Amino acid sequence: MGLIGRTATAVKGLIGGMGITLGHYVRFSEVITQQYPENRETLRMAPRFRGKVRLLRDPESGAYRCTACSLCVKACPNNSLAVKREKDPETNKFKLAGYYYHFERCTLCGLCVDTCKFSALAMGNEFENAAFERGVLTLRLDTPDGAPQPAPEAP
Amino acid sequence: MELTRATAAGQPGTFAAPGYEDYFVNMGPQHPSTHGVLRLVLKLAGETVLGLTPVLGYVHRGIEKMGEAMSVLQFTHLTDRLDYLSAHINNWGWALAVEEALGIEVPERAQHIRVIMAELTRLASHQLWWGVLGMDLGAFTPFLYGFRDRERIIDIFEKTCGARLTMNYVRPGGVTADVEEDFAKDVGAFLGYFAPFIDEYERLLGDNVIFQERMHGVGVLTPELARSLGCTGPVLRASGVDYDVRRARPYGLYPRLAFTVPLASAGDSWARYQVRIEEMRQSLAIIRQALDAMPAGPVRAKLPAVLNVPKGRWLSRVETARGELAFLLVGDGSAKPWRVKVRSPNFSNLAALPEIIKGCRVADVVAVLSTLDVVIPCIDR
Amino acid sequence: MDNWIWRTEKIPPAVTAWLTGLLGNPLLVDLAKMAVVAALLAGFVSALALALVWIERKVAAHVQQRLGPMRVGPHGLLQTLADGLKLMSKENITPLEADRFIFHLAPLLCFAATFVAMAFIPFAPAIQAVNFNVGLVFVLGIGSVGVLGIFAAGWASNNKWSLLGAMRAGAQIISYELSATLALISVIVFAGSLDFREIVASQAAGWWIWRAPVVGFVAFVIYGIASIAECNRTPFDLVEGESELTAGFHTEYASIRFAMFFLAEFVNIFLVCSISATVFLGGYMPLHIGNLEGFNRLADLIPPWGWFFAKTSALVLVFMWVRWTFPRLRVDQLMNFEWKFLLPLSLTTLAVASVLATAGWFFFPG
Repeated sequence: MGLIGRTATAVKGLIGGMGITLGHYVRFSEVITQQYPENRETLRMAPRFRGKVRLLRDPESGAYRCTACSLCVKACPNNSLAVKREKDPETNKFKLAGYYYHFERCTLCGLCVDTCKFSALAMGNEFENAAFERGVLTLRLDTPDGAPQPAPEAP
Repeated sequence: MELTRATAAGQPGTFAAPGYEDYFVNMGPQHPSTHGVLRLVLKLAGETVLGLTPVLGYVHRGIEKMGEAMSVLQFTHLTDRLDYLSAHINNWGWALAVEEALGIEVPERAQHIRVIMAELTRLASHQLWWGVLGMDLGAFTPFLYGFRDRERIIDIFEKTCGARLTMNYVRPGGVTADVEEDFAKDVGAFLGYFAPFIDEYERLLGDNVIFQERMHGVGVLTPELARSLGCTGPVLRASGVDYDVRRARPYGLYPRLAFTVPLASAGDSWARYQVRIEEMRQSLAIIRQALDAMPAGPVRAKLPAVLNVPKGRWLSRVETARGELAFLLVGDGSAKPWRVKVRSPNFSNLAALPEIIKGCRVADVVAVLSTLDVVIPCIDR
Repeated sequence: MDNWIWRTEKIPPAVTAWLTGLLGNPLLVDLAKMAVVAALLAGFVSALALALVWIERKVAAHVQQRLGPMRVGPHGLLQTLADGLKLMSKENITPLEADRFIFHLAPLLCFAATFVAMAFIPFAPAIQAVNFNVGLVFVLGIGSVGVLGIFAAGWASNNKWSLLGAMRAGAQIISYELSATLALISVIVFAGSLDFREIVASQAAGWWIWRAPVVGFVAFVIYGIASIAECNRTPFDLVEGESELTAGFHTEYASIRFAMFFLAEFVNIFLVCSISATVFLGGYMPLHIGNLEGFNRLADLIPPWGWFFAKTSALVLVFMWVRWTFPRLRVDQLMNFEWKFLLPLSLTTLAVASVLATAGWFFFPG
């Protein structure tokens, strides 16, 4: 192809590219971004989304299902969980005395949830997990009202 | 290249004025275009690159050492964080090594799911590569377009695997959980949606004469050099060497799938670009086949409670979006491996950069690095 | 439509009369006029820069299928103001080994060059800060002082990357000025004058872009490409090649000095687009089609400065459209393009234009 031919192909390619961007430009309202935080009300993560670990309660009895077997602690790759247990004097079985979650170490891998035999754990759906201080990231999960509390005494 | 001051007198294309000293520039660890935390020390004569030394290690996290401290199942989540753009494929490589060591058989449905996830990952990685290539060359818009399409794949991952980047979904024995109900519909919709966009990608960048001029003849990698350095993946195939782990040492469902492995012969940036664009098309075909033929059944083999790795060495190789990733698992009978070694495709690909960039301009460094498509965390582990 | 909005030539005599009534002494009146014009120009250019930055961000956003600034003010209109305030509140860092005097001078050079050049652009009949009989050449010359600013910035920063950027800038801008000037002269041979007012007046019968057959359009395209290179915009923005040099010659500048470079760049875009509009598209002349009286009357409803801004804005939008579509050229490709393609083309255009102009072979001669 001579110079004219190559120039013509080049110009055609350039104009074609400009056509694509013009096509997107004139469609003002077609946006691919989500307007966060204005859309917080309607924002839903997928059900399986792996957010912070949550301790689940039994719907009938209202007690935490956790039996303090510590399988989750062993399953966690980097010691993000710690379980304190005490012997219940009546039944002579172990029960949960403190479920501690080092969220600052957690990689959200989900191995703890997979390992638990009693369906006591689930991955939550929150992704807004940033904090201003490290201390608030060490949590105790077996609280009376279900909301995780900062627990500086965690082992 | 030695980092010493030496005159460039006598080197072709440079001045030989008296008192001339070489010009060292640091394309530092913080740079918009080094694809991660990579330091490149460039030796320049004006705008021409005389030599280049990559300085690595900024993202070293000790992943291989950590592999000796945790069980094989726990290590899976660390493989996500090697080449994080090929997370599923990394998981699969590790799962293959463990399954070979422990003699686990993977159910058929899980094989199909693994292939679909792997090829979706390859697509997502190439979409990001295309966008970043445009951005590195100065066209900022392709970045957004690439991410717009990649978002669809990531949403599919989020729905099924629970995470967008570090999925930890393919584990020894199969996959963690069955795909959720909308999976076939979502993936089918994506296949229909994305196929015409590959053509749009070609029209926006590939047909652009400026882009072509930046890519043709730049960073030519000869097949001999590629072989000797151990380059794999699209970098190798663009130089004309027909080596794809999916064909050379097939694993999973690949022996039963029909696809072509794109090849080019020029070995320059344009060839690497063409190979990856064609790979995207082939991935679409593979996903379609695996999706159509997916059987029902379990998705995870029954595993014992404690996975003791027997004494011995096992090697698994997979084809990530960037090349051949290999895992060496050395067991000593306990639940924790004796040694985990990861063969990083990006390390070998990056090793080609100092040779192929000689004589090119500074602007080409960025372009060639972009077409080599390296991800630094994989190199540094 | 006889009032001062359309008939802008009524404004300067009215202002002179008012000032004479106020001050009396003609010398004082002249000084006062200069002060008023300078203040208005300064205000206008600053506001223009702010508006252009906002437009650039919005155009970029919509090309990329996103929304751009939305939070500061309705649809982000006050975003640039907020950015300006932020920049002004930052620390003014000077690198340790930098050449202090030149380092501080460089942004002023860039800004002053563009600012002064804006004084020559005719916005409407008689609305022109300064009128020279060689206005076009003067504007092109003043615009070149900007190169000095870029070069000074790169050198004085004591940063290898900045120096690389500055070197590229010097080579690029000087080269592309040739094609730009030749393209403009290709039309000047038709217009017959370097005075902006007369260039616009000569387009009363039609705009040069179509009135000069073929060469008008070719010169327009050449000038467009060359002026994109003059403004250091993609595809010619390797001077500040963001992906390679982070910010090129102005890497080391923070705060208000960076703001000056930044705003100077945007005003420069407006400047070259307005030159293009004046020389090729008729400046403030409305679009009249031959004998269509109705259409011509409608066209006259828009005041002249409205036409001027419409044409210039259209060109500015094209600049932005090109920026967000194309990758950038490498420096040797850029130089090749200019010296081996664009310059021969513009020389040929000039030769053909000269023949056509002398022979009178263009639409509506005389």
